[in-house]
Amino acid sequence: MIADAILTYLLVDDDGAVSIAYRFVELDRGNRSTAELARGVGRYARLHRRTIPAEDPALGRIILGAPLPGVPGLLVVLAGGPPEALRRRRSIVLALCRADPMLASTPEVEVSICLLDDLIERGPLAPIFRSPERPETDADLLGR
Amino acid sequence: MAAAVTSSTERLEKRSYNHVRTWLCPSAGPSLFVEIGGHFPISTPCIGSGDGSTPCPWWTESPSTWGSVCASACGSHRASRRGSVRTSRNLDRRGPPDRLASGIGTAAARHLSSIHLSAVRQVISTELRSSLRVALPSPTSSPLCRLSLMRRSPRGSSGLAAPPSDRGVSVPESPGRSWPGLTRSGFRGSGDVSSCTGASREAGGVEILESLGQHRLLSTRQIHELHTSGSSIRWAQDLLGRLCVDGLALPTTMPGGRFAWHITETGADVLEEVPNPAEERRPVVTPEKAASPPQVHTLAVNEVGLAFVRAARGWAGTNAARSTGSTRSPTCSVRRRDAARRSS
Repeated sequence: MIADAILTYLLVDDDGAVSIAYRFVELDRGNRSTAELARGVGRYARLHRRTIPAEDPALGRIILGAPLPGVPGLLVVLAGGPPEALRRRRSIVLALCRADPMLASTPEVEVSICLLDDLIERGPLAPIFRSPERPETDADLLGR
Repeated sequence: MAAAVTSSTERLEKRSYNHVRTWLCPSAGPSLFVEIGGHFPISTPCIGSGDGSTPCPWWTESPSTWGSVCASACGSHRASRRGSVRTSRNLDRRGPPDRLASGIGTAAARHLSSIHLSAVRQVISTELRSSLRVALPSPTSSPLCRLSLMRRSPRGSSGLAAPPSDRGVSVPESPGRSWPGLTRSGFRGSGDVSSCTGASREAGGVEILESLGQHRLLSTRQIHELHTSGSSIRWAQDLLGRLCVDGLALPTTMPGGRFAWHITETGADVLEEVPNPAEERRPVVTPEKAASPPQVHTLAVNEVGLAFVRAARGWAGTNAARSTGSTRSPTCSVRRRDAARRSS
C-alpha cells in the first residue's frame, strides 16, 4: 500500500489558530474496479491498526514515511470519467467502505472521497467530500 | 572540469553573494573561474590574467552554464559562451533583470592572488552596482500547501518503505522565516517569507527546479500556475527553456502535444547546492519514465495539489492579515468563471 502523495495543508482560523491537516492522497482514474479501490481504502485502516514492535522503533518511521503526528486521513480523488459516472463510482465505493469491518471499527481513519473536477472547480474548502459515515452529505475537507 | 583551488579563503565583500567558488582554468594559464551565487548564479565570471582576447574553451565544459562573464585582470573583459562574446557591462542583458537583484549574501574567494583579487573585486562591484539598479517587482500570491509524491519502494516492499526523507511531509514555510541571500525565490526582495505566507512572490528557476524535483513531473501550465501566475505563461516557458538549455530540466511530450517537465541529474546536482532545500534529493525521473503512460497519473496527482494551492491563495486573498497585496490568483479566476456561469 503506497499512497500517491502526502498532502500537508496549513490552515489558519479566523482567530489566528494554526493547524496542519495531513492527508494521504489516493488518485483513482477509473482504471481499477470499485471493489479493488475499496480494498485499497480498507488497507489504511489496517495500517492504522498495525502494531510496531518495541524492539524496532525505526519501523514506525518506515510505516508512516514521515514524522507525522499520527496516521493521516485518506483523501480519495476520483478522475478519468464523466462526473455522473464518477459520482456513481463514489457511491459504490462508499457503500463498500461501509461494509468493510476493519474500516467500520477504525473511525480514526478519516476517509473522504471527492471528484477531481469538483476539487479543481470549487476547491477543498467547498462541500465536495463524502465519507462512508455520511455518504449522502457533502462536507468540506475538515468535515464541516 | 578544472581542478578546484582549495587553500586559503579570503572574504571579498560581506554583502555581495552567497558564495564564490574559484577554479583553476587550465587552458588559460593562471586564470580563475569564479562562480557567484552557486545554485542559481547571478553571474559566473571568469577572471583571467592573460590576454583578454583569449577565449576560455573550458567554459563550455563547465556544469554551470548560466550566463557568464569572462574578464581578464588586464581590464579587457571577454566572455565566450556558445560563440558569443560579451563584456561585463552586458551582465544585465543575460536574462531578466530580477535575476540579478537579490543575490546579496556573502562572498568568499579562495586562493586569489592580489591581481586576481582586485579583478574579482572589480567584477563583483560592477555586478553589485548593476544589481542594485534593478527595480524589485512586487510579490504575488503563494501556496500554503505542499504535496509530496510517494514513490514505489525500490526494494519491492509492501509497506511504505522508502526513506522518510524521500517521502516525508513538507512542512509549510513558517511565518517569519527568512531565507538567506540568494535562495529559492531569491532573485528579488529581502527573502523574508513572513510577508508571503499565503502569498508568494514570483518564482525563478530555482523554485521551478525544486518543484520539478519534488513533484517529479509537471506540465507547463501547472508550473505557470504554481510559480509564475502573476505573469504570462510565456515567462514560465522562458524559464523552463533556460532550464532546458542548461540541461537542468527536460520536457516530454504529453498527449495533445503539450509539454511536461522533469528534472535531470544535473538539475538534481544543482538543487543539492541550494541552501535550506525543501527536501532531500529524490531519484530523478528518466526521460523514458517521464514519457511512459503513468505520467498522466502523476500529473493528475499534482493537479490535486494545485487545487489546494489555489484554495490557499484564495484564502490568503481574503485574509487581510495575511495577504500581501496579491492581486490575481487562479482561485479568483475560477470564482469569476463560476459567477459568470451563474449569471448566464
